[in-house]
Amino acid sequence: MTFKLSALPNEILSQVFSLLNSRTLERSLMRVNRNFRIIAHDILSQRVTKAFKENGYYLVLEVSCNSLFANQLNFLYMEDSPRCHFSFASDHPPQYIFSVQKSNSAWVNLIRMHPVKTDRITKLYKVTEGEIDLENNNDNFSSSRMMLFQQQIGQPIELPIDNHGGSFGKIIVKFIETLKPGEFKVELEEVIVSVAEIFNALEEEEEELELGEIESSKNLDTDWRIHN
Amino acid sequence: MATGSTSTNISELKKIKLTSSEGTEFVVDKDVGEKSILLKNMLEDVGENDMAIPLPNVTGPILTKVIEYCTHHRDDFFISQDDDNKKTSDDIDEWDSEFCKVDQGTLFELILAANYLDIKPLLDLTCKTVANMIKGKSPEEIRKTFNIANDFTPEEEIQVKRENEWCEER
Repeated sequence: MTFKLSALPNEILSQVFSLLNSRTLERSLMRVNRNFRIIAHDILSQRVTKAFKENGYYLVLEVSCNSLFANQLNFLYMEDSPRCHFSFASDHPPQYIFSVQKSNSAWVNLIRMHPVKTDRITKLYKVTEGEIDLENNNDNFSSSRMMLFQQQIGQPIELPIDNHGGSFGKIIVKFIETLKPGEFKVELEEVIVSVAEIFNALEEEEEELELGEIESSKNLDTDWRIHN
Repeated sequence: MATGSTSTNISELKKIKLTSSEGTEFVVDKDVGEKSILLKNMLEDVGENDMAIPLPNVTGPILTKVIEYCTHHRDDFFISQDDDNKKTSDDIDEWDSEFCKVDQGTLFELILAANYLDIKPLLDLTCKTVANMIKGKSPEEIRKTFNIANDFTPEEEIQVKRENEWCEER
């Protein structure tokens, strides 16, 4: 009898998969079969949870499409959700970017997490501070929730009705509690660039759109972390 | 209790008997056998006797490989690598790399044996080897390499593809 990889106990598969970077977990293993998907997802969630607990790092959300906005915020917290995907590497510094690329689909999960390269963060616009309790905000996006969110950050966010490449904002949030589904709170720190700026840049630099590459006027290597 | 160097030397010379799942008996140096935490604990529990230790979960060929590994590393101090952050699949030395050049069935049986016998370095090594076989492969290539069936329904397939769309190379 010849043993197959898929016949190994999940405990051992998990040990094997843990040796792989998050990109491989996401791009490959999660798409092999159901069991691999579950194991890979668990590992990714564990990595994110661990990093949150240890670092309390900043996240930068790149959000496109108003219909995605609330959902993206949500599934950062829904670690037990099959829709929750993270790109993560444990050897990265304790700052990360979650980004969401353009999409029309309200429930397409489009989060990418990169290490923040502080020399590429060019501009920070402080909006307000305060806690956003998203405890109950885990259903589908609704305009009322967006309104609520806007109220909480104290500034309206420009959200074009046509969401195809329309709205696009970046927000830094600081996690102040560990990832516990249903108990999660974030502290909104700053909007780093205005929606309009990003949108304009998106049109102009469509091909090169990366966080921090939108403008290159200023280096806030230290400033952006002062709220830690 | 005398536990000086004389005792240690005697211990190093001692042999233990192991029986594979087919009933084949293997005689190995005690210090080699004690690379297995399972065997080490058993030997401590039962004390000294000539009884062969049955290993019903390990076949003869696999036990031979395990003994080969433990013999090669008999003088190594096995360091625990519990911190996931320190684990990579790249740090495999040449001998270990050659040791793992076996067919997939053998490799997976070695993993199971290392897990059963609680030989952490061998488990790490074999897991790293499998991880290296996965690296850089697409889902389809992984299925093909390891003969894995795609059990996603067409609907799930679409959903999976859509959810992972963002991480595709563009």
